[in-house]
Amino acid sequence: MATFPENLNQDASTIKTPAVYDSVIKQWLMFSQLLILNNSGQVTKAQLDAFNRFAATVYAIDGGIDSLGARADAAQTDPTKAATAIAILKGLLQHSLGLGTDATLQDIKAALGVLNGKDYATQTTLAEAKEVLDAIKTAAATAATEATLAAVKAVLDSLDGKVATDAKLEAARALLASLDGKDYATQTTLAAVLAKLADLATAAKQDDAKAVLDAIKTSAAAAATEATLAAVKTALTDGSQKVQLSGSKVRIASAPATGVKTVTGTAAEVFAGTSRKPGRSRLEIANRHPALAIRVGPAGVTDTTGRSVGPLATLALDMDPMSDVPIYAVSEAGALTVEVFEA
Amino acid sequence: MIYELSPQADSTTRISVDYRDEGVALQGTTHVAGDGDAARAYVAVFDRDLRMNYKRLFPTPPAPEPEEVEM
Repeated sequence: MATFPENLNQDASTIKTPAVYDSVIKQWLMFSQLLILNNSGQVTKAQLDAFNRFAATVYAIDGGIDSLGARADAAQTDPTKAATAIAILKGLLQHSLGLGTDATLQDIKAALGVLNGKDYATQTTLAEAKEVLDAIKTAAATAATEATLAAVKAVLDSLDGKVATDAKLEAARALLASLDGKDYATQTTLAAVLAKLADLATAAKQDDAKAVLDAIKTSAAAAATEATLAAVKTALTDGSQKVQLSGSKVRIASAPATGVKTVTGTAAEVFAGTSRKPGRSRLEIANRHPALAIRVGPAGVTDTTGRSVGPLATLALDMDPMSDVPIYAVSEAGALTVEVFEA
Repeated sequence: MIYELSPQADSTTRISVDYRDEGVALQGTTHVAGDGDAARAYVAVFDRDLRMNYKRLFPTPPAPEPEEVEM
C-alpha cells in the first residue's frame, strides 16, 4: 500500500482529519482504521465499510457529543427536565425494571377481556341519565317529609268511612243545582235588613207602650175640662181659695243620747252613743275646754277649716232625720273633751 | 276589745269595736278621716270614750282591802 506524504487531510471546512488515502480500495481511511489494519492485517472490506460509516456518523454528530453525558450521570425519570443521553437511558432502565411481569400482564389481559364486550353506556347516555337524576334530586328536596306524610295519613285515616257515597253526592249535587240561579240577597242587603230589624220594637216593648197609652187614656178621661181648670186658676189667683196646710215641724221624737267625746288632731265623727244616732234631728256639741277650740264640718275638716267652736261654746245643729249625715270634729290644738247631745 | 278597720271610698276609715271578748255586750262604730294608720291611732281614743260613756256595762274591779293598822 502506497503511502502519501500527506497524512493529514482537510475536510470541506478545511479542518484537518486523521485520514489517509487507501490506494487498494481507492478511498480515504481514518487513522484509527489504519491502526486496526496494521494490528490484524486481515481487515475486510465490510469491516472497513462499517468502520467508515461509524466514523462518518461520529463526524456527523461532531459538536453534539457533549449531550451524551458520562456514565456516572444520575438517572433522570422526568421527561420534562433536561438531561444527558446517558441519564435519560438510565431513567428508561429504571422504568423498565418497574414494569409488571408476564404473569401479571396476562392477568390484566384476562380481566380486560372480561370487561370487553360489556354493554357500557356511552358518555351521551350517561349525561342524559345525570340530567334525570338531577331532576329527581331537585324534586326530592321539595318533597314532603316523613312526618308530613304521616300527618296526612292520619287525616286520611280519620276520614275513612266518613266520605259520602256517590249516591249521596249525586243527591247533594241535584239539590245544589236546584239552588243555582236563585235570586238570593247579597251579604250587604242582609246586613241592611238585619239593621232594620234591630231598630224595630219588640212585642214586649209594644205591649208596655200600649199599657202606658191606655193609662194616659184613662187619666185623660178623668181629667178636668178646660172650663174647670179655668175656674181653679181664677180661684187661686183672686185670693178666694182657702188653703189648709198639713205636716209638722221637726221635733225630738225619741229619747236623746248624751255622752262625752274626745276630739283630737284626727278628724273623727261626733256622736253621743256607740255610733251615729239613726234619724237624729238635733246635734249639740258643747266645748268644755276653757282655752282650746275645735272645728266642726265634713270628713275633710281641718284645724283651720270648718265651723269653729270656741272654749266653753256650744254648737247646735238641726239635722234632717231622713238624711244620715255624719259630722266630724277636729281639735285646733291637742286633745280635749266635748259633751254631745243627740236627739 | 276587738277592733276592725275598713277603708271607705270617701277617704275615711271605719272603726268597728266589739267587747264580747270581755264579756260585755257592746259594739261601736265610728269614722275618721284618713287611712288605716290614722284610724289605728284613734282606736284607743274611741275605746276610752266608750268605756267612759258605758262604764255601767263594764265590771268594776274589786276595791283593795284596807290594811289593818295596829293600835
